[in-house]
Amino acid sequence: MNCHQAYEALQGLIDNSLNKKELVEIKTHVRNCPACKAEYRALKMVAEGLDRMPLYETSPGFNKEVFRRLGLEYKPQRRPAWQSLAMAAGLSLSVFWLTALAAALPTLLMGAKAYKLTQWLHHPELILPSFQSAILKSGLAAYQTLGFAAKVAGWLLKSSALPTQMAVAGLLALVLVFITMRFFRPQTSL
Amino acid sequence: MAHNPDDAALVGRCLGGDNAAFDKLISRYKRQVFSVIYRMVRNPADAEDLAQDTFIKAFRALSSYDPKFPFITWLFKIAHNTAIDHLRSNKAQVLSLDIEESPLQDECFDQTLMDSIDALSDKSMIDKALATLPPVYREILALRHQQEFSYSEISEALGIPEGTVKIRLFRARNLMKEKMLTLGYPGP
Ligand SMILES: [Zn+2]
Repeated sequence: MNCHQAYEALQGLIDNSLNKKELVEIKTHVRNCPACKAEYRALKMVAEGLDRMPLYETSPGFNKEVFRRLGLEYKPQRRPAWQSLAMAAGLSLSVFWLTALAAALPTLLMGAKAYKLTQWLHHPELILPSFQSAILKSGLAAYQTLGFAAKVAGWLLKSSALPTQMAVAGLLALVLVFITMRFFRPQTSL
Repeated sequence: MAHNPDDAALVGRCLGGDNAAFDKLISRYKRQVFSVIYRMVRNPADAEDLAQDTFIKAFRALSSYDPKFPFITWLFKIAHNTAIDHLRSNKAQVLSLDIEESPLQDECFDQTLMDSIDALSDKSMIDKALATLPPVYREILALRHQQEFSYSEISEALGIPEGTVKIRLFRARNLMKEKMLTLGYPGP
């Protein structure tokens, strides 16, 4: 390879576009030719400078302006704030309730068992103080709710739409809050 | 090169009347299109208009896009033609557009335009040297070094043979090298 042939190969070297044979030839030449070595260094410096060319940002209304000029209605991609808020609320509520249910599981099962032992009475409130009766009832309700929640969770996991999952989880959390408030009302009246 | 495999799917959705898909395509590529056009025309307001023109033309021509090729090279073909048309309408710059063999002629450029842009752009050596190059050279350097297009992708985007891509790219880099050495780069 002479210096004239090396000219194109040097550019190819910069662009990583040479095959193995060309690569060996140009490297051998550059090692033995100070002129081409200097040329390679200069080109490399230019290429590295060019690689750092920044990308520029367009103005914020760019997409909207394109749509306006096309005569199309512009609907921004961003989801409305209320939707994000509802999703966040639904998510945190369901996380809270799933954690709470998991933590309370042993207690709830014991409550349910106790309730079964006393169910021959049909009306525990007749022989038990009202708050104990309420706790037993809520234990069973929670036991049943857990089974229902497991079913819903299974369905949610199978469903692919995240917004649907979040909406249902949020709704479920609200229902649980409602149920709990009803069950604990007798206690607050004590 | 940064292109996305689901571009073709987005184009399909646009053709089916889903304009939100086009919004996504704009968001995905506006910086790249704007940056290369800005390198060519060196005026931010013109570059923004021309980048918008590019997406408007692309939207109207979507049915002619062949998904076998990357969407971005197709988009850059439109961007290139849009910028070249703009430059051709500017008498001061038309001489420097397309003659590969012509020597570098600084008098081809609109000096007042460049001076006003220099105030906005950063004053690095690369920018100073780039500013002295003809628009098509600035364009090919941006496609290769900023967008990391291959020779064949540049050939596709500019509608020129790969041999011409190499000649233009190599000349552009040599001119850059000479300019930067003249300007004293890398400095004492
Ligand atoms: Zn040599």
